[in-house]
Amino acid sequence: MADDDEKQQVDKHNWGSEELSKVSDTREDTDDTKLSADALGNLFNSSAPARPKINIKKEDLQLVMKELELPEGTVRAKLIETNGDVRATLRSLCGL
Amino acid sequence: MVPTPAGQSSSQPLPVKELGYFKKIVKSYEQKQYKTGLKFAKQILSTPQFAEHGETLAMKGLILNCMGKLTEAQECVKRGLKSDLRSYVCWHVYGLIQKTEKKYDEAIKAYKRALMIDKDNIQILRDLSLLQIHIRDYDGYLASKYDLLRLRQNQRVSWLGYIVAHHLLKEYSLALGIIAEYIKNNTPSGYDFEFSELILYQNLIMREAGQPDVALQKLEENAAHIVDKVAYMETRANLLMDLEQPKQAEHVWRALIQRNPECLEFYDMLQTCMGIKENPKAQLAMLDALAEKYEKAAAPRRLALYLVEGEELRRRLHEWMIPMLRKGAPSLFASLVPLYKYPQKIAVIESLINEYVNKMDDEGYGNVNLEGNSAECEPATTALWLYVLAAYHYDRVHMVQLALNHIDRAIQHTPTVVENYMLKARIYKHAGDYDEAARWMEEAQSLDTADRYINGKCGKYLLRAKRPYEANKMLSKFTREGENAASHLTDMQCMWYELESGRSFRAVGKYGEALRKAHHVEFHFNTWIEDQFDFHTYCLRKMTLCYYIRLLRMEDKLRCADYYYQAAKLAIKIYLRMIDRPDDMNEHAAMIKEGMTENEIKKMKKKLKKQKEAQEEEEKKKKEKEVKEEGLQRGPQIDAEALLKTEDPLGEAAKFANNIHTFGTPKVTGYALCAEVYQRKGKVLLALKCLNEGVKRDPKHPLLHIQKVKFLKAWPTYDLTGLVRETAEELVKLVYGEEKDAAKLNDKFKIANQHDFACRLAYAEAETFLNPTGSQTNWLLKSVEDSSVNGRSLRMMTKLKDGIEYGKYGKWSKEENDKLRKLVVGMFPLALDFGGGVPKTATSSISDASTASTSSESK
Repeated sequence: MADDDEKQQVDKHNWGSEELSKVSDTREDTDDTKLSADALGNLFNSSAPARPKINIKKEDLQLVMKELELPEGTVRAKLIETNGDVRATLRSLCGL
Repeated sequence: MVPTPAGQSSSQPLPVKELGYFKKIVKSYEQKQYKTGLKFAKQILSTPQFAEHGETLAMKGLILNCMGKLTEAQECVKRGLKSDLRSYVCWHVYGLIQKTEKKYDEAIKAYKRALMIDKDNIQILRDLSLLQIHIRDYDGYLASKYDLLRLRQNQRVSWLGYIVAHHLLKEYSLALGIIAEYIKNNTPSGYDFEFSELILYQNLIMREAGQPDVALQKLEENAAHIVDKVAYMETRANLLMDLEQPKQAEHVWRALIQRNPECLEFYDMLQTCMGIKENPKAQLAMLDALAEKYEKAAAPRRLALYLVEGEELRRRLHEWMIPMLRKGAPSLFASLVPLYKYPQKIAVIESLINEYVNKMDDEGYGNVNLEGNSAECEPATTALWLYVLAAYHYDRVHMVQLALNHIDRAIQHTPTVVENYMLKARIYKHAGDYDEAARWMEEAQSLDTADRYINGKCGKYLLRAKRPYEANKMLSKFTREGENAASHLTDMQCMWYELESGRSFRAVGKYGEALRKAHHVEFHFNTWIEDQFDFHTYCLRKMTLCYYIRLLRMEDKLRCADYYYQAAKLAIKIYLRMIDRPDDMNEHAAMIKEGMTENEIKKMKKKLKKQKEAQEEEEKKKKEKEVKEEGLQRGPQIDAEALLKTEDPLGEAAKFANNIHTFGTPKVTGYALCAEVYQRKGKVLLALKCLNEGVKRDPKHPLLHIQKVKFLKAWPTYDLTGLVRETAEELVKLVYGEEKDAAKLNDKFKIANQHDFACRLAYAEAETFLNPTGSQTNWLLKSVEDSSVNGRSLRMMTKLKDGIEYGKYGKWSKEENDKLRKLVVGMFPLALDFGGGVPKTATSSISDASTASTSSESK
């Protein structure tokens, strides 16, 4: 029963956004940029996304998630922001 | 969804004929011809050797999902995936289904599996990137946008998405590099709205990157391209201020005021630029000069009212009020509200109003001129609006009888003005007689049955009077015909209704129904979060990027909204009550205890059962009808009984609490409430975080104080180690300083705040908690009477009464309760909750306003 409820909740949403989905359908966009091939190549090479890799310890993640009842995503993001420093993460999330 | 090598990509290739059918399924799906699609699916699946064809099952499931047959769809898709794990179609569809289930992590995993099989599938990459931005996985979003750009370099949206991804990751220089290159090659010759938006977006990134100088230069360079002139001017003015060029900024704000002299924000910024924020005299001179320049502008005149005092205030109020009284401007009272913070200013308003009323009485409607020049007499309506203003004023200062006298005179003057009856209802509401209030609101409603606003108000007042069924009947005049008003209003995401009816149910002890309403609000907020999805593609295509970023940031803090807070408060308090007073959850028990006879109880139970059955029947019919019409059920399907049966009320409360403190609500009471939940749950750090946030905002708040005492008492019993302990100790220091003793903390609070009634209540509650055998009753009763104690409002008296019932202030005997009731009725004769109110016989003649007015005057 509870399971059913959840699905039906989803329906409500689909029903409401049906109109909007008409505007935001996934039709192919026309090729409309006028970037010259050179400029484009340069840009593309220079900006290949290279994000810093930060090691996050599982026990750190678990500790903060448990103590502050936060979802994994939030804690992970904060740990990345603090370069994996669990102390700084915990303090920051506690408003210190 | 366009699976390119349709039906062949997997371990189950289809022969030509079936492949033809499969392509038709895909086509039907794209054209939303679901039934046709299912027919073709049947063609394939009915061939025995393809009965378990994975991709066909997946497509069938997808179509069923769109038709709202969710259980069937799930099953179909899962079967499909099982029989063809090497198909990207199956994985992609599995992801889509997980997404509709809101299992975002699962969906992302499934998309990624699909991309491992078909790594350059644009559609799957798009779906993946949408989910990533939705859950704010910016790194993942950037990676997907990079792949999309790699595959579609000639498309504008690819570039925009890539820029946005960098911006959100605060990779400003990369974002700006790409956008500059883009602008260089795509500058249009003439008017172009989209380009204008792009320039403004570039500017936004520059400002966030901390480059106001570059931003200003680029903004001015591109001035001709920017279509939104106000945005241009505002941005420019702000940049000039950031760059410490207040003189130039001042010019821009003045130009903006010229465009719109009623925008209060412009005046505020102008003051900041001129450096006169702390200088009322200079502010006044500035406002007066502008008032002279813009003769019709109300804003500079209104703002000036808030800066002056005494005779000067009187003079300005006179000039301000007279034209508005003559015109009957409905906003007159609202414009005075900020003055009510200061007792001396209230006195000025009151004396002015009394002077006008006396003058009106002395000289008569026909001859009076409020400005004292006898050449012209006031229009006939001035008297009417004057009485209305007086009624508003006395209502605001809690002088109920005078407020009623004036509104009755207004009604007598012109009995057809609907708003006057509404104001009368409001006065009764503030005085605590909700029945009488509802009665007058019904009267107002009957004067204009085509007005939805009054209809809504009337519904609200009926709910306040604990008459939810009548309220629904009233509201159903404006909701869909043949449907329960409550479910229609839920469909319409009508928040005031959810809250007000939730409170109404709570007031009559139907905690399950009340909880259900609070969960509806939660549901609406989830829907709004969900609604973002459509904008992730739409905004990029339309190039409204500044607004897109604002949307994302707003959604991140959506639950900061007051409606959410109110609903969370309602829910949390009920969940706590479940723990403290489990017997309350039985609604019949709550209604019986008023000392009824056996027979009455039986009757009532029977009636309740009947009502419930009727309601259930109606709901059932409605659902059946919907299922028939649309093939699916709309709206939140939350069961009140099930909510009451939760195994973990504290966990449920914590879910709401999490959403209150995480987004940094400005409300101290919110933090106090959360601290209580977390303390009971044994979440020390969270409790301390909330206490600390509360202390930052208002260290003396009474409700926060109670939680501080409770926590401090429990603090020595916690067994913490390591980092958690270290952090907790730091927080304890911040919250309590050197104070280590809960009883001392409470005593100090008592002494420091002895003239405040709310603080006295807080002290008593904390003291009862620390020392359950000691009695606070006499001290509280004395506090009610003590005229040296401030804030003895009806609202606080109701809190006291509710707290006594809850057991917050120890045991109260019947005599003590009676004494409290007598005291409160003495102060607030109309307070229904304390046995006061308008005597029922005196108000029987509602249609005759003058009769009613004399009767209430004579009381």
